[in-house]
Amino acid sequence: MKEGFRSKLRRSFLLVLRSKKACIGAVMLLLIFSAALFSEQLMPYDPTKVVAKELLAEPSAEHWFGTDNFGRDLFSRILAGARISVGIPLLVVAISLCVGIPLGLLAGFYGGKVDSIIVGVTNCLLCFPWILTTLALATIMGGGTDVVLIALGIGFAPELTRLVRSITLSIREREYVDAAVVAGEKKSSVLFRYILPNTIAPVVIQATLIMSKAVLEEAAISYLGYGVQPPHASWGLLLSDYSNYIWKHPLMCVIPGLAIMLLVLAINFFGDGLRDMLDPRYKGKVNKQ
Amino acid sequence: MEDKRMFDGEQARADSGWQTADGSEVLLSVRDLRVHFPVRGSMLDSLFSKAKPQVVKAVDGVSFDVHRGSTLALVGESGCGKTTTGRALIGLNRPTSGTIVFDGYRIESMDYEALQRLRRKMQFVFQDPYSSLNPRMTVYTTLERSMLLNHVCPKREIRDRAAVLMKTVGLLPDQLSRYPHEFSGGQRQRISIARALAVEPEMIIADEPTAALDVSIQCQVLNLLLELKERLGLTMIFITHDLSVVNYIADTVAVMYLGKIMEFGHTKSVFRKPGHPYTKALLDALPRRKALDTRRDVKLRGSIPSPLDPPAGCALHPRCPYASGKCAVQAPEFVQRQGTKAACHLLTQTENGERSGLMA
Repeated sequence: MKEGFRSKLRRSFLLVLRSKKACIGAVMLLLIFSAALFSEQLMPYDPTKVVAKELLAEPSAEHWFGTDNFGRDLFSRILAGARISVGIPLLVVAISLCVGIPLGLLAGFYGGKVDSIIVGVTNCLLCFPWILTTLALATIMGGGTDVVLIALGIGFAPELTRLVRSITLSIREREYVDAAVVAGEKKSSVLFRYILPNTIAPVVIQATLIMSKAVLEEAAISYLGYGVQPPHASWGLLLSDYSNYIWKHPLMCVIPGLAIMLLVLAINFFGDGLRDMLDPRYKGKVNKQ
Repeated sequence: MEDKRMFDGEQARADSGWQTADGSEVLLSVRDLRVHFPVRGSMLDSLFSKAKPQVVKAVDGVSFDVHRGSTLALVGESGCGKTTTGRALIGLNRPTSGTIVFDGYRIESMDYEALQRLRRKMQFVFQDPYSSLNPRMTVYTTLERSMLLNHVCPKREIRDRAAVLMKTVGLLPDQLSRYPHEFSGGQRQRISIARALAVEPEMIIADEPTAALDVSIQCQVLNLLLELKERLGLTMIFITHDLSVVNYIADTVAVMYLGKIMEFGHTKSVFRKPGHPYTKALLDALPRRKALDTRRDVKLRGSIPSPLDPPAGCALHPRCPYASGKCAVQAPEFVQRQGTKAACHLLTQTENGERSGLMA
């Protein structure tokens, strides 16, 4: 039966609350996202300002996480890095979804030549080790956030395309798709009303996995020096910058590492909860209670 | 669509092999239907072997008529092509050759849109109630889509009609807002039936609608179908492997084997005096109550040959206890008997019945 958007929203909200994991994930994500969004307002110091007197200071009331080898406030730098470390994975997921879902659906639904072409290109892209693609791109374009985005997009979009294609192939053979045709549905609405909604659950899982992988790989690319360029900060770059100080001032390394870990954890928790939320079987359980 | 009318009921009747006594109108007429599926080998196969691409002949030359208001049962073992025949009738599998005329319209050459319009008159009940309902649609949405798409009634009446449909199939209107997983198999099959009825069809093709259900539920669903058929004056094609059901539900029966019809006729005649050894074997395979039944059963040897490489001559000859040399060479033609016709060389030899051409 048709239900209002509001009651749907309310029910989704209740569902998130019901799953402790999803709840924790959602709260963590909310904190991290708002920190990234309002980083400029929250920063106690200019993250690029070098203060020669305060090199490598221990954590204190003025500098919560201490200062780095140039006397820059670490807390401010973490906040400054949040925007890139959160934003890039989000964009990578968006790119993968925008490319992967339509192409996967097309390949799986229509088959034939369309399928062969899409699968061929996908397999070619999957053959490249992403690190090589990144290095090649960095050499041509000179590093920076756009390189990270393109490299990760090329890395993850084919993965999602392949997933959506395989799910589409299996759903296309279900009897309810034939039943939809017999009921008089147009081909397009068979695709969008019957096949697409049934691919959502695995796609959401994959999207959260991609997001957490993208966090790590952005960190890796920046660590190698091909990603975000100093003095801009990203958590991976911070980790790489401070790795020289790991013995004398371990906290400088631990904090960006911890930030990456928490973000990945939050995404995975939330993804698990989201999967349950999108399953009508789970909805039924909430209805009864 | 008018120009696609091939011939009226009169001519279709003249073409058919036999007529019902009351001479009722032929609603569906199938002639020499073939549905072949190409089997694509791997790329390596096509590179290194010179073998021709293989073809599965799922349906290979099937002809029959269904009269308005009657029930035809398509029976046979798994893999004999009965489901493919049903799917071809409603346009889910496109025929390789042959003609299907439904209510004067040629179905086999129709495009997707024309078929969609025709499906207002012909509906399908699927075999597996667990996969034939979209898990993300409530029962109401499922029924609503069918009614909306086929312009069954004005939009504001849809809700009422959905409630009536639920009652018709023995479910509660309150259950409309539920999702398929909240129902049992039998209830789901009722929903499937409601979906088929939603467009007010003239004919329903039911593909083993009871095969996935518990025995206790099978009877309920069968009775529901029978009752609806009587009340709404539906024409039905009932695809099944269960012969005990056929006697209960069908007026005429077509026995299929390896994509071909072996015997076709009135259910009563076929059950009383089966003409084809295959029909006999199927009937003898039914469990009987009498422990001391003295009839000699016809037992088939082995199992169904691969449809990729069907036997020459009569498709049954490698398994038939009565097979002679002729059976391996020459395909038998239909022999008209009382109320049935069967394709078997035995009949021409023993009964010397009048020979009839291969159906029309």
